[in-house]
Amino acid sequence: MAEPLNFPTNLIMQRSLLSLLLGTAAAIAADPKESDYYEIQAIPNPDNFALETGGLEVAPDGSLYATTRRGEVYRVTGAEDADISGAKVRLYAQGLHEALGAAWKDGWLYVQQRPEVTRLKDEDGDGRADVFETVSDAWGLNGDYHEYAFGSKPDRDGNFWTVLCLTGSFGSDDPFRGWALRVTPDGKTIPTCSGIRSPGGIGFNAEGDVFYTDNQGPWNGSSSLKWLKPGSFQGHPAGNKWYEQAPDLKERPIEPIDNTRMVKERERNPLLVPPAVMLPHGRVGQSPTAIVTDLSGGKFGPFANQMFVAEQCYSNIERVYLEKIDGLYQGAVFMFREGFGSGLIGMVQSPKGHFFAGGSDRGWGARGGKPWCLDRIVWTGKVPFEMHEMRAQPDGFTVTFTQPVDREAAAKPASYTMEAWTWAFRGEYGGPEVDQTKPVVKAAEVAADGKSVRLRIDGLVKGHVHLLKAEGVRNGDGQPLLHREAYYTLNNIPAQDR
Amino acid sequence: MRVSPFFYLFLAAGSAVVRADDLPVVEITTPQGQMKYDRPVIVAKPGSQLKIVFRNNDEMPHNIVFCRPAADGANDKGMAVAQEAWTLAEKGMELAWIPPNHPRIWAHSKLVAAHQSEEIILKVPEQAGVYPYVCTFPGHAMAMNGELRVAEAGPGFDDVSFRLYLGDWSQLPDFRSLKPHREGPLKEKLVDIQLEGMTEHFGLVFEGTLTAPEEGNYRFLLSSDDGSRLFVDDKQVIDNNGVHPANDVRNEGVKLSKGPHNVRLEYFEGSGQEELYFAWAGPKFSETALSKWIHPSRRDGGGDRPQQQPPGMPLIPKDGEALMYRNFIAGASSRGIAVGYPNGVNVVFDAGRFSLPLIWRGAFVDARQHWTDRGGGEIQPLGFGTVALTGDRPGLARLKDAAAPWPAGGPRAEGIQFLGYQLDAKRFPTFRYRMGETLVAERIEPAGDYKTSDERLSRRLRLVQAPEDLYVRVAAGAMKQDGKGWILNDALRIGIEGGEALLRDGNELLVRPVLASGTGEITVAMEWLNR
Repeated sequence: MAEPLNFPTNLIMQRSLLSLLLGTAAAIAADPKESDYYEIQAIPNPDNFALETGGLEVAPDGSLYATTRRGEVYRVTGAEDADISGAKVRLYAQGLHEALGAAWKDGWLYVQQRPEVTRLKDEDGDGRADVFETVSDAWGLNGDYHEYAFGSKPDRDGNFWTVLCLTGSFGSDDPFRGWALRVTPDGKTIPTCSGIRSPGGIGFNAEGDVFYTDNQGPWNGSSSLKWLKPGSFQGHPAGNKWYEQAPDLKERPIEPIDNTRMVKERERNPLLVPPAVMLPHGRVGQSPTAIVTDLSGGKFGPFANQMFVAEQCYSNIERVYLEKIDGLYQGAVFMFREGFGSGLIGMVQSPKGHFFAGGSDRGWGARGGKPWCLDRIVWTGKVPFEMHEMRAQPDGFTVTFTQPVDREAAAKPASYTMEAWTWAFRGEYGGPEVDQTKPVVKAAEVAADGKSVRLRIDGLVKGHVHLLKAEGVRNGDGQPLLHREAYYTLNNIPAQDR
Repeated sequence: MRVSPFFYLFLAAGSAVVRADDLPVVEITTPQGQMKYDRPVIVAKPGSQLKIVFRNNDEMPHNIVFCRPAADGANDKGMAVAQEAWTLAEKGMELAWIPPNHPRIWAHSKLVAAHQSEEIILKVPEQAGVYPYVCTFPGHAMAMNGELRVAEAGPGFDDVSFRLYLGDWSQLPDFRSLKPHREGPLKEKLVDIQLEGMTEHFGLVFEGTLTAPEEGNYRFLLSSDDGSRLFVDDKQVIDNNGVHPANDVRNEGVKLSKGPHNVRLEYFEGSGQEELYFAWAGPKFSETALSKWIHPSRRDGGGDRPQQQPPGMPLIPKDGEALMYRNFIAGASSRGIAVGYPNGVNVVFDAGRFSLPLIWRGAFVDARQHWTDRGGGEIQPLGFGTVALTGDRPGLARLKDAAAPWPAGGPRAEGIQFLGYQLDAKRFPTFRYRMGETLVAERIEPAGDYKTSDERLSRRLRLVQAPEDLYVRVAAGAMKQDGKGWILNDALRIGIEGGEALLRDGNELLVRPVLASGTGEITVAMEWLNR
C-alpha cells in the first residue's frame, strides 16, 4: 500500500514535521502527550508470575495485593517507593476461584471469588495467607464460565457489594445472577439491585454512592457506567425471577418493552435507573471494568473527586465527571490514558495518590499484546490542558478547563462541534447508534478567569449522548487540549442555570 | 527426499540384514503422575521389526511387557501376567517384576527408573492379532496398558482413474464445471500427483473403487499440500480445503457395508511444495496407504501416534506442601475445592454439598482448560485411580431413623453453611462448616506415597454440638463388607472409626458418630485396592 506524498497543509502536521526535523529541542513546543503528565510504570515481575489481575487493594502497611483470574493473590512490597524497580512480587495465596475483587478491612483482605466473598489473613506471619473465612456465598452458580462476580471495597456503611453476571448474556439460571448484593458487616447478604447484565467492576463516587460498569449486550446498546441506587432496576429483565427470594424489596420492576428508548422506558418503569454515563461502544472502549474515584485531594493531579474507569479491550483508563440533575446521575466521559500492555480489569488508588492497574487479555483479546500487566500510574506533577468538568445547563453546557484558555479561540463557536445520538433499548444484543442529531453551538462565552466557557446550544436532546469536540480551543501557550472529546449523557436537562 | 518403495519391500521380507538404525521407531512415554502409556495402540505388520523407545517421565519405576493373547483369546490387557508378576513379592524388584520364563511374555524392557529410558528391538509376531502390553510393577496394570495390533495391510484400489485440470486456485474449484486437461486410469492403483512432473497451478480428481472386506467401521486418512477433499459414496468425509502444508493427517471414521464403495478424492496445488497422502484402515487391517507418497509421520511403521495435545498446565504439589484448585471439576458441584497432597493423594472437598465426592491418585490437575481463553467447562482429575464416593447428595443430614431416606441431591445442600478453611504449615486445609448448631471441622490426612504405591488417606470429621440423629454419608456404590471393613466398587477399602457404620441397601455407607455431650470425631480411612 502506498499513498501519494502530499505536502502537509494543516498546522498540526506541519508542527510534527518540524519537530521531526529539529528534534525535541525545537523552538516550537511539541504537541502534548499523555505520558508527559501520567507515567505508566510496570511493576517488575522477574519470576514471571501470571499476574492476570482481577482485583487490587493497598493495605495500610503499603503492600499492594493483586487477585488474579487464576485464583491467586500476590502481595507486592515496595510498590509505593519512588523507584518502582525495587518492588517485589510474592505469592500470598492460591486456590481461589477467579478472584475479581480485593478490599482491606480491619486487618483482613476480603477477596471476591466466583462462588463467595472470602476474607484472608496471614496469622502465622510467614507472608502467606493461612486463614480463609467465608463471608458470604448467598448466590448460585452452575458451572458457566460467564457467571462472573466482581466485588467492591467497603462502602460508607461498611458493606461489601457483589455484582453478579448473568448466565451468559440472556439468562439467569441460578439465584441472583444479574443482581447486586450487599454483604453487611454482620454477615447478612441483602439483594439490592436487579437488571444487571455483564458487570466489569464496581466502585464509588466521591459521595460514596455505588456505581458499576456494564457491558454492551442485550438491553445495553453500549457499555456504560451505572448507578446502583438501592432498590433500582438496571434494565436487563432476566434476573427478575429472583425477586421472590428478595423479601426486603417490596417493589419489583415491570417488564420492559422491547425496542424502545431508555428515556421513554424510564417514564413507564419508575424503578429503572438509566446509565449515568454511556461509554460509547467502539469510541472510548468496548469493555469497561474497574471504577476508582481520585480521593487523594490533588496528589494525582487536577482531577480530585473525579471518577476513573478502566477498560479491558482498549487497555485504557477513562475519566468521568458526574453530576446529579433532578435525582439522576449523569455526566461526561473523557479519554485519560492509553497504552497499557494488556486489558485492564483491576484498579486502585494508593494513599500516596498513585493508581495501580492490571489485567489480562485472556478470552476476549485486548490492545497491548501482553497476556497480563500490573502497572503503577504516577502523576508527573505537570498539569495537562484538559476539559475539567462539563456541566449541563438549560441551554447548553459549561465546560471548565485545567488551565486558562486562549480567550479569542475559546470564544469562537466554530472552535466546537457537537453531535448527539442514543441507542435502542432492546433485548437483542448491542445495537447501532440511532436518532442522530446535530446540536448547534450558537455562542461560547469565556469566563473572566478564562477557566470556563459557557456554550449556548440549540438542539439539546434529553436522553442522548452529546459528543463535544473542542478542536479549536487553545491554552495560553497555544497548545490544543490533550483530549478534545467529551461524551455527555444528558439524562435530564436542568430547568435552571447552575 | 523420497523413500524408495524398495525399502519397505525389503522390510516386509524380514531380512536379517536390517540394521537397528534403519528400523521404524515407536516412542512410548509415561507422563508424570498419570499412570498410563501415552500411546495406547501400536499397529504393526506381521513379522516386521520395530524399535521401541520407552521413556519413563514418571516419578516411579515402570516397565513395558509385551504379552501374547490370553489362552482363551480374550484381551485381558495383560492383567493375568501382571498378577503373576506381583506374586514375585520380595524378589520382584530384582527380577524387574518379570515372571521368569512366562509363556505369554515375548518381549519386555527392564524396570526403567524415573526419568530414564530404554530401547528395545521388537520382532513382531507372524500371527495377526491383538497383543497387550502392560506395566507389571505392582498396582500399575489396571491403568497402564495398551495393545499392539498385528495386522496385514488392507486391500488397495480395485481400479482408480484420474482427471488432471490446469488452473490457479486458492480453494478447490468446482471440478465438474471444468474441462480436464488430461484423464485416464492409474496403472499402479495408487493416487499420485506427480503425473506430468507438474509443480504448480494444477488440480486432480481421483475416482476409484475400494472393497470393504466386511461390514464395520473404517477410517480414512488424508493429508495434502495444498487443499483436498474426500467423498465416499458421494458423501463428503474429509474437508481439507485451502492453501496449507501437509503437516497433519486428517482422520475420519465411516461405517461401510461389505462390498465395493466409490471413492472420489479432489486435490489442488497452488504453488510451493506439493504432497498428497491418502490411506484407509479397517476393523481387521492396519493403516494401508492408497497414495504413492507416504506421509513422514507414517514412515515409522507404527500406526496410531499419541494424540497431539496443546501443552498442559499441570499443577504439581511440591516442597511437601498441598496445592488447592478451585474451579469447575466434573463429579463435584460448582463449589468443589480440589486439594493435591504432596504424596500423590488428591481429593475434592465439595463446599456446596459438604461431602468428599472424588479422590484420586498420582497427578493433581491440569489447569490448561480453565487458564486459557475464557476457561469454560469442567476438568477431570489428571491422575488415575479416581473413585467417585458420594455423587450429588449432601454429605451429612439428620435422619428421623436409620431407615429414613437420605436427602435428595442438588447443586447445594440445604441448611449447611460453609465457613472456610485454615491451612497448616504444610498448607493442608481444615475445612469448616455449620449445620444448625453443629460445627464440623474436616481434614484429610494423607499417608504413604504414590511412588511406592502405598498412598492412602484418612478423612477426619470433628463434630461439636452435634445432635444424636446426625449421620455422615461416607460412600455410595457397590459395597461389600469383609472382616476389615468395607470395599467400594472393588476399588477402595474403607475403614470407619469413631462412629457406628451403617450399610443401607448394600450401596450406601452411613456413619452415625459416637458423641459425648455432642462432641465426636469420625475417621474414615481409605486405601486403594489392586496395588
